[in-house]
Order: sequence, then structure tokens, then C-alpha cells
Amino acid sequence: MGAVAAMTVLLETRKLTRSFGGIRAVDGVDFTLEAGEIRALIGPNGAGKTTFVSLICGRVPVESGSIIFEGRDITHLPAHKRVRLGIAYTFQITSIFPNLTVRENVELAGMREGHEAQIALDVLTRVGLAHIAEQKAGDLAYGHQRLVEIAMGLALNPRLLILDEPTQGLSTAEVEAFISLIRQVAKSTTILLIEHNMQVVMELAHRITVMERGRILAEGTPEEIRSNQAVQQAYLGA
Amino acid sequence: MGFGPYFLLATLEGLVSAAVLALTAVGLSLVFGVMRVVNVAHGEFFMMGAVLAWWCASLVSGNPALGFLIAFLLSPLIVAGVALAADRLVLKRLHYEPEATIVATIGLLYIIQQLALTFYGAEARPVQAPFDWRIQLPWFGYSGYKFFVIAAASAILLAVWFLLRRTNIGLIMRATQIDREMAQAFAIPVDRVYAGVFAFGAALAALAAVLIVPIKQAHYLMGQDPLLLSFIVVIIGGLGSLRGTVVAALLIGLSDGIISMFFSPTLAKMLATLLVALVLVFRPQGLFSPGGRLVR
Amino acid sequence: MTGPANRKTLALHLAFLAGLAALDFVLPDYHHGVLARVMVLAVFAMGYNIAFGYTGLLSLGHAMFFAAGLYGAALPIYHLGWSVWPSLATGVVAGLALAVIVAALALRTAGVAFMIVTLMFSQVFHLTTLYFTTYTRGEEGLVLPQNVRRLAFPGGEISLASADTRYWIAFILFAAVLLFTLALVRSRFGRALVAIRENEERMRMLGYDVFASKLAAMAVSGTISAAAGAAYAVLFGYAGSGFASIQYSILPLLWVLLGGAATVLGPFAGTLIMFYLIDTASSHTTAHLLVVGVALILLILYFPKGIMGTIRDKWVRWLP
Repeated sequence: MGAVAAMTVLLETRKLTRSFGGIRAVDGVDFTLEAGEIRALIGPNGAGKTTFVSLICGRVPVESGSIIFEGRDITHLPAHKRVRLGIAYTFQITSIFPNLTVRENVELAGMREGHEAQIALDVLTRVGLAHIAEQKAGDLAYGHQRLVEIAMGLALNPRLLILDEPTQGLSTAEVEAFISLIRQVAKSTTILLIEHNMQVVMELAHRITVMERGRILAEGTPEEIRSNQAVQQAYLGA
Repeated sequence: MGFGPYFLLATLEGLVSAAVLALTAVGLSLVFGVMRVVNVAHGEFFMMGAVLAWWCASLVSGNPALGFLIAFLLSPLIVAGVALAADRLVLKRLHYEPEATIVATIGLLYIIQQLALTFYGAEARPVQAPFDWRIQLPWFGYSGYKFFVIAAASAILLAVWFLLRRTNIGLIMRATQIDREMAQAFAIPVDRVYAGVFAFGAALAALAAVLIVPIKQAHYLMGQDPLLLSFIVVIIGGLGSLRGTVVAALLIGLSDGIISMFFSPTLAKMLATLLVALVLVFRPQGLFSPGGRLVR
Repeated sequence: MTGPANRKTLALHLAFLAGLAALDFVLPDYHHGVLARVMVLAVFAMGYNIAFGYTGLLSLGHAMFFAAGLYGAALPIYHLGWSVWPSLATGVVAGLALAVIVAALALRTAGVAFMIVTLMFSQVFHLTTLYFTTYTRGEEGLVLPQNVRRLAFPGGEISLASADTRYWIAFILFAAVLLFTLALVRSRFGRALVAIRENEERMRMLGYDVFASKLAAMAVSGTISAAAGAAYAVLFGYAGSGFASIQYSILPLLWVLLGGAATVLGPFAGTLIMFYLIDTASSHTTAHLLVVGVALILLILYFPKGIMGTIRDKWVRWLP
């Protein structure tokens, strides 16, 4: 998929809303994601980013509004069915299986397809974890655990990969490795990326969506967002 | 006796059951409300209260009123002590983890029950009421002691309400229930609160048993029914809600009394248990915490 | 799991079974009878282990599944004069049906609520056996006379009244369930169950229908428990409502905890040891269930992995 690929809409939300105890965490959000792009979702803490992607992948039920994925209304579809349609989510707080080996962790993602051993080997090689595949995931350094998290997402061979603060806690070198990995992955998968690390955002994102207080504040290319006054005031200036 | 007076009799009997049940259930409710612990041995604390009441009465065998007084004061204290020991030695060490705690309280149930069997025996033994007073109603005579039970239980429940709502201790308990971490941040000694609540809940069950034992005999298996009924009351009445527990106890106690007069008690129990299980399955919200969320 | 580990595991379990079989020839009468009973109860424990040990579903109501099998087999024999084979089938089917219905309801809850709901459903079942005393004879129970306890085969008939026959029937059932559990645990379904136990939310987000998997686990667990119940009725000739009481929900929990939850051999070890412990205690006191209480507390406090679990943890990593 290159710059001249047809712009097909992969994911769309219409007036998506979710409250928690009186607070509108996601407030009537209209959002469109095109196939093949890398979209970064940024904003201050509490802006509703994680709630928004949780609504998309089905972890949190929708209060009102709709979600359309590849032309299909998935608003009330249970989470596991959305995964089978091609939406993968990696958790903000690493959520792997610490008592299983790295390989066993990733195999779980591929087990539904069948040839999980092969899938796991491929993915672990891509991600650079093949050399520690037999170690217990709980014994790994934090950065490697984050990579296992991402590997599980990749093993699902998703159409849409949602990454929730993937570089949090990673070293500079690990962040660089992450950036090149995602550039590779983006050739075959659409990426929606929640990030606080601006370097990662600026280097990877085709477009950026800025959220604040449950709403979209601004959307555009990295240059447009960098020069946007409102965004600077609300977020980047801080 | 016509239907009206018969119904009145059933109602009075139901009120007595409800009074004792309310007291027992409040103990269970407090423990689950504050500590998030399901104490399956709660019925055994009840039984212990009854057995100890018999023992106290047997110490002063001439004087049932004195025996009752001693039982009323001593039995809850001893049971509270046992509960405290169980909390310190076992529950605290499990960090009150829900599933491990239930398994531990099941173990506690067996231990208390079998120790009662060993030291008290398998027979049911009666305890004399502290006073023998017959109230003559127009249609039938009724035991004055039973009225006393209703009055005493109500008084104790009022005292518990007062403790929870109007004193510092009650405030601390409620704070710990609502948010344990915040309570700790406010330098509330959560561990000690837990120990105190567990002991207090057990004491309430023991008190209820002391009240009922002159009416029912003391038997080592007598804890099973109160446990099941308390569960039912607490699930229907809701936690953190003293009022809800009392209302539910009234409902269950009265209907159990009335239904048992006209139908088989086994059938009544079956339907009540099934109903409560279905309530838990289909309407867990609002039944298990003030916040409306079922705590795992 | 790699090839050599697979072979080692299978070899170990087959050797164990061979040992059990050999015991038929050497054990004195009393222990011979005990072992037959233990094997059947261990099947119950293995069934419970699938729900509790592997899937992490702490049910406090499994007595109802055992009793469904028990009465499902005993009632047709006693009241309708059925022969053993179809009665065993009804026992097993009754357990399966009950397990599916109960699980479909109970799995809408989790954690503590799940424990209470399963406990309550089991209580209802127990009360039902006490209510319909005309059919079940309540606590007193149904005694199945020896002459009806016969298994018909194409070649002829064998009487289940002989201790030797009982041992072999119990052994065959035990071996079948043991090997089935071994296969299940190493299958994709089994691995999914363990993963669900470890991190349910993650499994959901990996595309697994967690509710369906748990339901299947409960169904398998309940069916195996019922098979044990049906076998028990037919082999030992007795079906009483005591088997539907809370005690028979607590005992499999205890057996599995002691032997080692989520191990294949653990349930047998726990059942065997506990049986002898209670047996020994009951010759000293009527309050022998004290052993149950003490064992539960000691296990949960100090020894939550049980015997096989600790062995696996410390020495034999590949033990399933």
C-alpha cells in the first residue's frame, strides 16, 4: 500500500459515547480511519483515548453511537468476535501469561488458526525475541514483555492493530527498534497508536488525532498538528 | 382455632424467626460488606453461641435467669475470641483473598462442628428460658419469652445501627468498607478493623443463638439452616445496607414461618434457595455493593 | 510440548496404570476394596479438577453432578427394572444435561458469586432428593441388590458382586478418564482453559469465546463426575441423598487441593490419602471429619499446590 492507494475507510465511529458515573469519557466522537495508514492518537491523561479504543475493540460496552469496521456494524458485537474479524489490541498495562514461555504466549494467539508453532516462530523472529523464546515470560525485562505483548497482537494477523502506549518504559534503543518494527508491520496492517512519546508519533504517524476531554480537538498531518494553536495550548505546550 | 388466629400465631412465630435471623444475617452482612469475606463458618459461630449458652446455664443449674444472663454476656465474648483467633491465624495470612478465604472458612466450619461433636456430643439439649411467663391472648396463650426475643433482637439491632451510623467506630468501619486503600491512607488500621469486624459479626450470631436456644434445643448441626437463611437474606437485602438486611430478614422469616405452617419446610427451602441463586445470576448489580459492581 | 517430553509423560502414566493393575493381585481384601472405591471417587476428583484445577472455576456444587449420575443410574434399576448398561448411560446423560444447564446460568457470575451460585444449585438438588422420598428414600437411600448388578456382554454376563470384578471395572473407568484427562490437558482446548484461568481478559482479546470454553469445561467436568456417580451406584449398590450433600462438594475440592490442582495424577493421590486419613480417624472418633477441616486450612495456608503440584514445581517440570 503506497501513497497512491485508494482511500478505503477501514474503521468509522459515529457519535460514539461512553460515560462512567456521570463523566463523559468519550463524548459523541466521529472518527474515520483509512486502511493502510498509521494513525497516532494523542492527548493529555484522562482525554479518553484508552476508553475510545476499548470501545472499538469491545472491552467496554458502547453507551450510544456506532462503530463500523470494514463496512460492518460491530457496535454490539462481543469482543472476541471483533478479534476474529481482524481487530487486535495490545494492552496499556502489559497483560501476558507470566507462567508460560514466550513462545507459548505467542502460540496462544495463533492456536485458533491451527499452525501456531509456525506462526509463533515467524512472529518472534520478526520481533527479535526468537533467542529467548523458551524463557518464562514473567522472568523477562519489562521492555521484552512489551514486545511479547506486541508479538501476540501480530500473531493474530490483524487488519487493524491497536497499540496502547506501546513504548512506555522502553529504553531509547528499544524505542528505535520499535519504530522500525512498526514501519515493517504497517506495510500489511493498519495501525492505531496511542502514544505520549512525541518522537515516536512524529516519526511514525501519517496522521494524528488529538483528543481532549472525550472529544476530538484536532486531526491532521504531523506538521499541521505541530503548528495548531489549540493543540499547543491544550497539550504540546505543557 | 379459626384461620385468623392461626395466621396470627404463624405471624408471631415468623417474627421470632425473623428477629433472630436479622441478628445473624447482620453479622454475616457486616463481614462481607467490610472485609469482602464470605464466612461459610458463620453458622458454626451461631451453633457455638447456643452450645456455650447451654454450658453457661449448666454452670448455675438452679437458676435459669442467672444462667441466661451469664450466657448472654459470656457466650458472645468467647465466640468473638474464637473468631478473632481465626482471623489472625488464618484469614489475615491469606490476605483475605476471596477464593482462599472461602476454602479456609469451610475448613473452619468442619473444625468447629466436629469439635462441638466431640465435646458437646450428638444429642440435642434444651435450655430453660430465663422466665416462664405465659401471655393470654383472646385465642391462644403465647410464650412471653418469645416476645422478649423479638424485643431484645430489635434493641440489639438498634444498637448496631447506632454504632454504625453515629459513632467513630462505625465511621471507621464504613470507611474501610467503601475504600480500603483510602482508609489506609487516612491511617486507619485496616487489619485491626478487619479483626474487630470479624469478631463482632461472630458475636452477633452467638447473641442470636443465645436468644433462640430456650426455644430451640442446642445441637451440633444447628448452624446449617441459619447459614443458608442468612445467605439468602444478605443476598436479597443487599450489603452495606443494615435496613435492607432487616427488611429481607422480616420477609424471609415471616414467609418461612407461614409457609412452613402450611407447606413442607423442605419445599420452602428448595424454592427459597433456587430463587436466591437465580437472583444472583440475573440481578447481581446492586445486590453486592453500594457501588453496584460485583466484587470478585 | 516436545516429542521426548510427550513420550516420557505417556510412559509415566502408563507405568502408573500398570502398577495399579498389578495391585489387584497382591492387595489384601480390605485394601483391595478400598482401592476400588478410591478409583471411582478419584474419577470424580479428576472431573472436578478439570473445572477447578485447569479452568480455575471454583465450584462448590459438584455433588449435584455426582449425585445426578448416582440417581440417574440407580433410579431406573430400582424402579423400572432396567439393566446396568442403559442405566449407566442415563446416569451420564443426566450429569451432562445438569452440567450444561447449571453452567449456562452460573457462568454468568464469577469469583465469589460463582461459588455461592453453584453451592445453592447443589443445595436445591440435595433438597430435591430429600423431598421426593417416595422415589429416592431420602437419607436411607436405595440399595441395589446384588442380583441386578450384572453387566451383559455378547459373550455372557459378569456379576458385579465379586470384589475382583469391581476392581477391574473401577480400574477401566479410572484408566479411561486418566488418559482422557492427559490428552485433554495437552490439547489446544486444554491449553486454552489454562490460559483462561491465568488471564481471561487477554484470552478474550485473542479471539477466544471464553464463555463457551468455560461452559464446555463445566460440561466435561460434570459428565465425568456423573460417570463416577453412576459407576458408584452400580458397583457398590447404594444411592443415598448423603452423596448430594455439601460434603460431597467439599471432598473433591479437598482431594484435588491435596493431590495437586491442575495435575493429572494429583486427584488420585489426594483421594487415596484423604480416604485413608478419614478411615484411620474414624476408628478413633466419631468426629473424624475434623481431619477434613484441618487438612483444608493447612493446605490453603501452607501447601496450596498440593503434592503433585509441589513435585512438579520443584523437581519434575514436565509433569502434566
